[in-house]
Amino acid sequence: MTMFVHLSRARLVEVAEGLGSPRAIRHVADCSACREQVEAAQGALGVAHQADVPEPSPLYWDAFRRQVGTRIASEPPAPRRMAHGLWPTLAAMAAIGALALALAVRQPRPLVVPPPAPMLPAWSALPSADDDVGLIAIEAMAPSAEDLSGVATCHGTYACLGSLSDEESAALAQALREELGGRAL
Amino acid sequence: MTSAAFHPALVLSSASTKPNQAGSPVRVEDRDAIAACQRGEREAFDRLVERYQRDVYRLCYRYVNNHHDANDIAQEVFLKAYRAIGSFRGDSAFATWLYRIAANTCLNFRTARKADTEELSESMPDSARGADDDLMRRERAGIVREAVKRLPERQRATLILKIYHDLTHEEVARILGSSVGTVKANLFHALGNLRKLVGALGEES
Repeated sequence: MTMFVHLSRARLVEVAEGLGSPRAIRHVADCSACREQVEAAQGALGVAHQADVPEPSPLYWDAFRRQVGTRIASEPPAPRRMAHGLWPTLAAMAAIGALALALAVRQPRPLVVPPPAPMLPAWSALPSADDDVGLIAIEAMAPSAEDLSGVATCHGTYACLGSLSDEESAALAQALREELGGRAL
Repeated sequence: MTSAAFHPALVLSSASTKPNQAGSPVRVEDRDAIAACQRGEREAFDRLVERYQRDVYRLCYRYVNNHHDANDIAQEVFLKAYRAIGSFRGDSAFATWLYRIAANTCLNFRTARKADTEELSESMPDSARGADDDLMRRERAGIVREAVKRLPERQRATLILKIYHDLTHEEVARILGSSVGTVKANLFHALGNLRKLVGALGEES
């Protein structure tokens, strides 16, 4: 014994729109109750199509566009959308970052704290010229004008050596030998 | 009635309705304008307004059944679309995305103006003008529009999108955020209620 089941509302609409399955159409042909509902729905579809919207004046559409344009002009620029191509890159970067973070959390390493660097003074005042012993040492090392008198006239090492007298050359050689511990030049 | 006959995407521009090269549901000419808008070019949005203003206006008109409110809501729809166009990802046709904004805006408007729901439209045809047959047709159209306006929210939204914008059940479901089965059931109830309302309003007039 088979139970007689009427069509659902969705199936009835499909048949009314001419989109019903062959089985549903056969059912409607055999079932007066469903057929009545399909015919009512088809009648209502016909009624619905009688409601045309009054067409505004052709000038209206230009005015409409202008009004929308004016309102949009007072808006900030439309928010920009990120290009599709950037999403995979960003996703990959986020995945790498998440992986690195996960690894860092899973493998804790002893924290090595470097010894603190010696603190340098942000500013140190120079001693006054009278108290600066460095200036006295520098003055003692500085050659006198007399020492520089001969050197000033020659240009370069070879020129200076060439300008030495025989006695000066012998004295220089002697001084160098003494400096080098008696080794031959 | 075929689903392609009055689809807004087909009616508005039959010359270039094929999907773009990447198989996106977004029409080629829409895609260019949308991309320009997303780059910050405001002028490009004007092209979208020009292309869809009639459909959006008609959708709004069917909700509110008067020009003044339809004009206000339609402008609001485009303003919302402009503000949100950065989030449009091309997962659906631009028209579907725009209709979703329009449907929500209309539903919010209707909620705010609930008290007006039972009032008869001011735009009922003037019986002193036009030929008799035209008058009859306009009167009948006015009654049907008024009946549509008085349908419960979801039923009205379903009927308008399905019948007057000839979207598929799947598209309507996507726009309204419901299942295809719910859309079909709502349409069935909407048609039943429409017949009753038209009969009652016809007797009143």
